[in-house]
Amino acid sequence: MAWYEPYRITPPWWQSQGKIVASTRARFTRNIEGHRFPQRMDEKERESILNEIILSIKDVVSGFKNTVIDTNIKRDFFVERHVLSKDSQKNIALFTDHTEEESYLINDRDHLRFQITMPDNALFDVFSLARERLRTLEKEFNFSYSDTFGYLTSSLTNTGTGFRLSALMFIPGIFLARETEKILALLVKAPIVLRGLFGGHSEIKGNYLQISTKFTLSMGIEDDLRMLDEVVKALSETEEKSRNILLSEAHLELEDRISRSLAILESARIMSYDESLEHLSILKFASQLGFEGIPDEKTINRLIFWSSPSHIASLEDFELKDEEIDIKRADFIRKHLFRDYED
Amino acid sequence: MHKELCEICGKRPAEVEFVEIVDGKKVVMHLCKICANRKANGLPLLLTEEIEEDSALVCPNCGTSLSQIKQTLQVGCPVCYDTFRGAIKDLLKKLQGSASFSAQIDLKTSEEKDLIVMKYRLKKELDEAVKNEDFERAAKLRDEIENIDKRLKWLGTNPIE
Repeated sequence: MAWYEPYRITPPWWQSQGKIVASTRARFTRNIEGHRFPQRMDEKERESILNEIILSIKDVVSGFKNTVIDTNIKRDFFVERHVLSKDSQKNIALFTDHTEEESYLINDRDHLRFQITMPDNALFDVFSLARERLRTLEKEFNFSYSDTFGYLTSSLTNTGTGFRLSALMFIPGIFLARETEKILALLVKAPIVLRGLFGGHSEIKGNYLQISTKFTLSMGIEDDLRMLDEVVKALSETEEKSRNILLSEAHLELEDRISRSLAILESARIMSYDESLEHLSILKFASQLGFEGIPDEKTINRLIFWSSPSHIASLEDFELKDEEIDIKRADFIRKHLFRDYED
Repeated sequence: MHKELCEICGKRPAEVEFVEIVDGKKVVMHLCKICANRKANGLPLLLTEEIEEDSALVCPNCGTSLSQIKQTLQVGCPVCYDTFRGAIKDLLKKLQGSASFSAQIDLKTSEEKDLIVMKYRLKKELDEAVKNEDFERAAKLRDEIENIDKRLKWLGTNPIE
């Protein structure tokens, strides 16, 4: 069986994203006491850490899908599934449950990183479940810790709590109503990091904005929760307002934009990933606003997911060249835009 | 072919396309990896002289040099934190606005903390219920909050915020 066979599904959390708060995620980074961090370990040490962790978490991950990410192809594929970041290392062991809401990474930049992702605004739920899992793990491991710095991590941006909470926001209203400047000015004052769809230094695309907590040394994880909850709420309200303004003051322009995007998706024969994101996200917006003649939102979510380069390639051949992928993508979108399909 | 140099330090080759939104406009800069990483994290430019000076300082446990830490903002092992304590505190101060772990952050998980978070959540639901004039649900939520307060009092935590 090919390594990607268990991953032929669209993750349910991606498919049923919330309207404005698409999804939320909590993530903990931890290292095992007395060992160097993965980038500085030799093969023997990597192997021994891997075995030690797998042995201790085997009850937690029993029945999970697992794979070793040992090639760039696999890395790109799992970045597109939102379980890895672009700057990930090679030879990482990945465990995910069948819904891909819960995942464990061993030997990436740190010995262990696990995350809980859920659709919609589920900040409290991802927070609570991640804490529960951490409590279980704390019984199994002595994590690397210092009184001065808290939990020790390979990246100085995680030192302390090793905790990050984030929300993926879908805010086309703000982008289209040209409220972006105002919003960004407000957001940079909050202790948060703004990122694109795929975290890391990824570009802001497809009207998605990821916001995540920033300070792991001076803020407790409960403070992170309260703060991010407030920011998400404020941003959601602004998005609602922008949508209302667009609908009442720029209805024709909006309709024009939507029709153009639909026409391009229906007729293009060659389409880059960025272009597909641009137009599919406009359709997603139209679907949320109840415009007629637009596919339903879940179908569009699936198309956005499968339009990413490695996923398009996975449908045929990972050896495809970029130009061939662009052709395949245009075909795929045309074929499935109005004909819902099963994974 | 002429190799383009980093727009910040002007010394190392540009390898990264750095995109930034300045005053609502997209600005693209061509930077070396070191300057891009530091700019993304709000750190000042790293001088070539400084890099050379720091490469001699090496962690005895894992071989990571201070220069590598300053460039990548990554350390190699727990011992690095002790070896380069002063320099790491400086970096953390710039990155995180704080040089050490705040004493009041207690990471131990406890029933008390869970209850406080739960209470916060229920209060939000209560606000929502009152807004929607769902008084039956609001009454139920008030009871639950009261129960949490009782439990917190019993655990010795002042239930007021």
